[in-house]
Formats: sequence, structure tokens, C-alpha cells
Amino acid sequence: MYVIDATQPHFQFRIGRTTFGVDIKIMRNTLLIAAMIIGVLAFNGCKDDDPVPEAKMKVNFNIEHQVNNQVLELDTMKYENQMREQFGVSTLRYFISNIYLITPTDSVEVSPIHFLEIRDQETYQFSNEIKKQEYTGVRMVFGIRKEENITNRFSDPPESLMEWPIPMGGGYHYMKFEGRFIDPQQAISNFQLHTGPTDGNDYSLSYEFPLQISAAGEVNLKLIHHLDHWMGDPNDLTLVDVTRIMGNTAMQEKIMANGHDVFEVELN
Amino acid sequence: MKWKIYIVVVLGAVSLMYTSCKDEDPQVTTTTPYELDLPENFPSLYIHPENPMTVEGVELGRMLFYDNMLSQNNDRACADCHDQGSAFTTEASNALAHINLGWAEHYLWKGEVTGSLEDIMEFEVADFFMADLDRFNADPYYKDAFKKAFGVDQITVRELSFALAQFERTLISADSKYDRFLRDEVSFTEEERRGWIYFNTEQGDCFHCHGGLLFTDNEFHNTGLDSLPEDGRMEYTGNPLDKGKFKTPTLRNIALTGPYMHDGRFKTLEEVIRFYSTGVHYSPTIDPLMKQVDQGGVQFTEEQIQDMIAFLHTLTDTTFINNPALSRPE
Repeated sequence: MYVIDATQPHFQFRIGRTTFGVDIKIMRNTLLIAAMIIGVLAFNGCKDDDPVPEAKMKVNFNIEHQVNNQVLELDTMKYENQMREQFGVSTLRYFISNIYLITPTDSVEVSPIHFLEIRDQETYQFSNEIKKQEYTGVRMVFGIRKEENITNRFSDPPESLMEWPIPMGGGYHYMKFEGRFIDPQQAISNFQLHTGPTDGNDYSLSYEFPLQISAAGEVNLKLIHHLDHWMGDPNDLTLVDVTRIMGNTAMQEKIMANGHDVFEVELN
Repeated sequence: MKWKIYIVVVLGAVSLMYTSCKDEDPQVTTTTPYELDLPENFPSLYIHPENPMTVEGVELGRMLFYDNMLSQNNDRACADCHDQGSAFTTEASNALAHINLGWAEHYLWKGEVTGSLEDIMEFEVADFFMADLDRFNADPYYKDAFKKAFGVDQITVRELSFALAQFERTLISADSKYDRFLRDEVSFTEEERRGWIYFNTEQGDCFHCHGGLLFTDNEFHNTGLDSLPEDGRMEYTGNPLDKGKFKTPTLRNIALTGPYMHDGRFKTLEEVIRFYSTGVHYSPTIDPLMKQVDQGGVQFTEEQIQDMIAFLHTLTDTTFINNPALSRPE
């Protein structure tokens, strides 16, 4: 047990009836050690290499669907394609992926993948906060690149319901585009334009849209999807041609060739 | 001085121990968590936040599933229309089979009930069976079982529904020959393999509605049964575009769950395949996925029809229909 030497300088205090004494030399050394520990901790906590937070800007994408340059109305038969077929749209589901804003030397991801369901307007928008700077364009992929288009990637609906069956190559549809049309026999028929990785091939499409985007607090971009463009230029296709083509590599290639001008991006 | 500090510390520790070890609130019941074995690559399973799976709850739900007491006249139980040997349906009832219902969001052929298993079970207890709660509250076995499972002294529709929902969540089928094929444990015969290909290509095109591991998209479709279809889903949504639409049933165990379609019009799988081959009728709300409607359907050959049937038989899960954990309690 330690005993205070009352002849040496010491510091006294009481708790209740008990008097406590602490040798001043011990107290001083203890306080010195404590101060050193606190100083080291404070120094480490305030080191200069803590990064300065990067300035951010919010990017909002809004997707608009058009047929013949008019905003899409579902479940009508009011449209006519370049082959003069009267048609209407019932179903539209698709993926876009690898969405970036770009500069000549930089590319910043906005979204790795986005699923659109035409009957769910919440899927028409997506946003992200990215590095605040000027950008010179938008880059994106229609569909899913082969290396990312893996069976069982999505376990939950609605994305999982886009599965592309294993006997046809596995992975997921890029798009399900369905509706009705007046067929050559003047009867109402169904069409289904389904694109995807037939036989394991990569038919995804890469786009780069030049666009001057200023560094601002918030930027609104409109992505326009021209549905009728899938059926023309350079390949004029009827709705009979584009139906039931999941296993048809030649038709998948033709559709994808037509896709060069299906999308455009503008500042909103 | 030191002994005074020791006393304070010891008294503090004893107080903490006493506080943590005092008798539990009598309203709180200790239940045993139920470990649900979920199949690989299945979608996420919704568990109601107020109805966690417990051993006590699942067992109570199983008892109720097989107990006539649920019905007002004491003359039928869930199991009378949902027999395990027929993959939890019966030929007489043509009820939708209770297979993997934990992954459903809409229930019954026209989607009369939407929500969780707790919601559909509440419908069954309150609206279908119109269960007599007094009878349950007078029964010593159920009083004790509900106390253990839910900590309640008074049994209500809620607890009856919750118990049934817990049991229903365990009705998981994922060990058919098809599942074993996916796991590389077995091979298909040539007929089964060809049928698998027709099913999963646009030759048969079944997968668009009956795809994924659930073999249903859990949506509603008008598949062209009639040129003048019944109201179907429209009866509940009021949407004219839903006319003639009925829920996509799972094809798991389909060889056991006849008859087929919402009205049981087809008695055999062969009749179903022939319907999709040449029997489809156009109506304004026919699903856009239906192919060659003007010709009556996908135009299978006779060999293709038999191959399709062979593949569908691979979806039978004998483990599921013989699992004692799902059977009538002894």
C-alpha cells in the first residue's frame, strides 16, 4: 500500500469523512503523461492528409418515349411505321447501363444499370450526385454488356423477369417491346420485339452523345427513346419481321444496326 | 480507503446482475426462431416484420391447416382443398396450388387479394372460413399454443392468420428433377431435353409467363381461352384492359395439380399443350405475348407435344409432396 510522505509537498482532498492525498510530484508526472497522450491523439486526429470533400452536382435523367416524334401513348392503334403498318404499344421493358457523364479526360458514373418499365412512371427517372465540373457528353449502353449479362445476376422481380433462357444463351433480355398491329391479312395481330444476347452474342449498343453540360448545382437531362426507329434505317423491317426473333442472330443484328439513332439526349 | 471503493464496485455489479436477471415481463413469450432453408437463386422472401418465423408459430399453423375447427360447421379444413399429395390443391377444388406462395404478391385466380401471406390468410380465416373465434378461445390446446407462439391470452383473426402464414411460408418446392438437373446431379432424357428447349425458346415460348425458378411471373394474362372472355381480373381492378386475365399459376408439380386453367376446363397436360398449339382464340385483350393467334397458336408437332409433357413432368417434386414437416400432424 502506498503511504503519503506528509513531509513532501502533496495535494489533499476529502470525500465524506475520508481524506485523500496525492504526492505533487506523482500528480505532476501523471498530468504530464496524460497531456502527452492527449496531444498525440489530437495530432493524429487532425492530420493534414484528411481529404477535402469533393464538390458535387446533382444529375437528373428523365426518360421520354416517342413514336413518330410524339410522346408515346400506350394501348392505342394510332401509330404507323415506315412500312405503313398501323400499330400500338402494350409492353416496353428494357435496360440501359454504364451511364456516364464524360469529359475528354474523365468519365464519371451516374448509374451502373437502370431498368425501365413503361407502366411504372417511377422508372422514368434516375439521379445521382457526381463530381461537379463541366462535362462534354453522355455515354451509355443499351442493354447489358456480355461480361455483365450473367444468369442469376438479378434474383428479384422485375429485373429477374427479364431472364434470357439458358438454351438461348442465358443472361437477360435487353428489351421487351410488344404490342398489336394490323397484319397483311388486315387482322389484328400481336408483335413481340425482344432483343438480347442470342446464342451468347453481345448485341448491346454503346452510345456517346456530345453535350455541353456546365458545372452547376443541379443538371436535368432528357433521354429520348424513339421506338419507331428500331424498325428502320438502315434496315426497313415489318412488325412480322421483328416478331419471334429471340433465336435469330441475323435479325438481332439488323435490329441493333437500326439502333444507332434510337436514343438522343438533351438538356432539359 | 480501498475497501470502500471495492464495496461500491461490488454493490454496483450485483445491482446490474439483479436487474438483468429479474423475471421477464409476463406478457413477453420466449419463442424459438425458425430457420427457413431458402433455395439457391430464388428471389428474396418477404417476412412480415410483425410475424417472424418461429418453431411454435409454424407448428401451430400446421395444426390449423389440417383442423376442421377453422370452418364454421366444423366440416372442412384448408387441407380439404389443398392436399399435400396433389401439391396442395385438389382435383375437386381446382384451387391454385399452395406452392412457393411466400414469393407471391397476388392471390387467387383473379387476384382478389393482394399483399402478403398474412393478408390472404386473413381473408381465408375471416371471409372464407368465417372462423368461430369463441371456439378457439374455449379450446385449452389452442389457448396454450397461441400463448406460446404469440404471447396472447385472447385469440383473434390476426393470430390465426399469422400462424397459417408462417406455415404457408414453409411450403417450398425446389427439389424436382429439373432442380437437380440445374445442379448437375441428373441428366434429362432426350424427350425432356427437347421439351426444355421448346419451353425456353420462342417455339413454345412458355418461359415468358412461366419462367424463372418460380415458374410463374405472378402476373395476370389473357392467354386466349375464349373469344368472348370472362371478366377475370377486371372484376377487381375495373380496368377494361384486364378483361379475360387470370393469374399465371406455377408450373412446379404441374403433373399433379390438374385440372387446368381457372375453370378446370382441361383435364390433362396434353389438352393444355394442344390448346396452346392450335386452340388459342383472339380477343381484344389477348396478351401480346401470345404468338400466331391467327393460326390458333404455336403449331406444335405431335412429337413436340409429347416432349413438352415429358419436360413438365420433370417439375414434380416428390420431396415436397412427401415432406412430413408439411403433412397432417399425428
